Amino acid sequence: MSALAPAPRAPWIFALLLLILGIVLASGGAQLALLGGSLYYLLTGIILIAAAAALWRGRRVGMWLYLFILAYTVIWSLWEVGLDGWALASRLGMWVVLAVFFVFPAVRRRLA
Amino acid sequence: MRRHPRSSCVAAATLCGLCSGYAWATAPMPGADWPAYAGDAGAAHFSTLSQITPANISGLALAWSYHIDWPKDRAVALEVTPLKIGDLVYVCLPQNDVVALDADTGAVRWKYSARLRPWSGSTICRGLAYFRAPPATAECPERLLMTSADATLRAIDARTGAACRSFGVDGTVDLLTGLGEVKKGFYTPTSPPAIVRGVAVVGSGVPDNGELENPSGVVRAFDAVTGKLAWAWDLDHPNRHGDPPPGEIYSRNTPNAWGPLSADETLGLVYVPTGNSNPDYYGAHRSAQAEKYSSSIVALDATNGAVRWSFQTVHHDLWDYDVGAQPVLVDVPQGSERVPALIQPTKTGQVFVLDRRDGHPLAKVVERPVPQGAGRGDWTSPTQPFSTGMPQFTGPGLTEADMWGLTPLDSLWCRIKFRAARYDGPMTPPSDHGWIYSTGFLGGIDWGSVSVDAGHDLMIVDSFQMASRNYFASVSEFGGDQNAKLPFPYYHQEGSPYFAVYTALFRSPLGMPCQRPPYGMLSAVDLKTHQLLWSHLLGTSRNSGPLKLQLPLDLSMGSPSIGGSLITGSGIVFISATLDQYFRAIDVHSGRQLWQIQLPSAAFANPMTYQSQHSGRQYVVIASGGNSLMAHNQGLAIMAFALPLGH
Repeated sequence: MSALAPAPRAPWIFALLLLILGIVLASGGAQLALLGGSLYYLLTGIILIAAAAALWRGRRVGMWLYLFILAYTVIWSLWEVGLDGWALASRLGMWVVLAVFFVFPAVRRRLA
Repeated sequence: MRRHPRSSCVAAATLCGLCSGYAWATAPMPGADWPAYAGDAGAAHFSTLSQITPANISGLALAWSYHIDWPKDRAVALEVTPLKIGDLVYVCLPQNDVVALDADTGAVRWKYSARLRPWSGSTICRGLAYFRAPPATAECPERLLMTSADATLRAIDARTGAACRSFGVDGTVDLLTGLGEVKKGFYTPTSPPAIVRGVAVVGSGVPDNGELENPSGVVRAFDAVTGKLAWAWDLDHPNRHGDPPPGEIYSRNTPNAWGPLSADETLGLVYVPTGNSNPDYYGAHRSAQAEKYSSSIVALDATNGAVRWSFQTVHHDLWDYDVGAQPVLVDVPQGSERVPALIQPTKTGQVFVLDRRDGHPLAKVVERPVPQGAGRGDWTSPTQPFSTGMPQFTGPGLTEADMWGLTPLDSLWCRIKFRAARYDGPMTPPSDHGWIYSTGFLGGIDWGSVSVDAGHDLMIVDSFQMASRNYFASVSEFGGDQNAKLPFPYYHQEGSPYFAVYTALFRSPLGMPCQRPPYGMLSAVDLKTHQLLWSHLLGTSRNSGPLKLQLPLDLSMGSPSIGGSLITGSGIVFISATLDQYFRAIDVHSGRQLWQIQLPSAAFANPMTYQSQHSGRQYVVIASGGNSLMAHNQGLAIMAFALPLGH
């Protein structure tokens, strides 16, 4: 059990939130992929689960993984819908809002 | 239809107050008065008035409002467009009470209480018809005719609000006559009668996806003075023009006409936009007559109800693409001459332009091959008509990348549903895997229809794009109970191999549309060249948030919209219709917004305008009350806007 406990000072609530998001995206994304749809959601779900696990352990790599998702999501969104503001907002909004978490120096200091 | 060039607008407006051609002389042109639901019997939604101009409209402000008492928690759809004749404004309320309001103050001059039979289903009354009886008529020389939610046609004295006792029985004609057994709420007309050659022609509202034993869609004409049946158009008995003989009834489950009808006094024709036989999504059992006349425009002889011509907008309709939009009768340029035309917008975003004398297309119509499929045992029409000679308002087709949502989570849900169902554009046939089709059952152009300024050969179109998502549901979804009361939005599909159908706008569990904006567009079309002049997003994101939250966020989006527009002689389009609750004025030539005001509720209704004969002020009126299906009811009111006094 202790192996699963969050590292001291790790942002475990945030990590848990990302984990849930990751599981939903990965499972829904798998369903979508099986229907012949975009692979983005499955891929992103898996990376998000990895990011959540790293943050749970207080590893800074979790933040980098999250920012990696944000970066390729921007590129993927522009590729899919161009400069359509509403379509971009739907794809990027949630990621940008959650990214604010990493802006706080206190959070970054807690990540090794 | 007569149309005045703008230079004579003022004269026409002044004269119109004096127009006194009665009964079957040509109906007065909307100017000082607004004598018909859509302005005139041809539904142009046009008024010659020009006191409010693009230059002075910034001063337009609320002049009066009439509050309608209605419980906040009770479902309602306020879709009324008032009439104005002389010095009174006439409004029918959601349960068919009628009020006459002072044209300058909105004060109640009289009120008619409908006291509906405890029977009715609908609360919609889109409007009234006005009829000036022949000079010798003693009672109710001016009268209002109204179809009511309890399946009656009523005549009311326009001067006093009293029932016209000599009409029908004590002022009421029972529309259930000849229909056989009709279940509670299964026959509820919602649109005003059309008045032509001294008769009032009425259609009917019947439930979609109700039963195979649905009441008849018979169209009937009643003498506007006596209320006696003049003729009936009963699909399965085309040569019988009276009530059915004893022991028989009007043919059941025939396509009904729930939208407003249009009429041409000169040609002596009434134009009936038709719906469909039940159920909406399965049609293997439909009769040959129903196949011929469903989702069509049918021109009936106003004197005997005989079919003069018909034009089908969708063959073997499997999409609920019934024609709800009132046909618009205007004269359009055709080479060097002007031809009496009928403009028919449809839910698929097509605008058909027909010669209203014989129904032949004036703008090119092409039969195109469409996707094949349909439910088990049903069939699909190999082709469907497309009005390729006119701009299309179908919107771009959907792809997975068009799926949308508040977050990646709900858009993922939409993507899965999109991929799992069949999608093949506007004519995607029903499929055992579920099917998605756009423009959907609310879209393209519904009962709000289009407005036309025939003096400038301009047509204003407000169109709505939001796909529908359907699937056939088996009885196991309802615990195997054949008699289960189906929750919204499930409906029985009697006569099909399927227990029920789920049919709803394609939205995520958060209530957000599954497709990206825009939804509502406002466009102008040149009727000389058939070219699109301009097309703009209509409405903002206000009130379009998740879970019906009314967020005051005004980002240009193209709001979901229900309702129609009005054009004035000064070149202004008035329209609300949007979920964002704004009432707007737009320059007809440029599409530029000139004015807007926030209403207490969304106004899913067509505006009207009139001029007071006492003060000389021009008023623009809209019914603000929303529709419980789309938005919360924030109170119901009739609101009149005018320029400040002394302007």
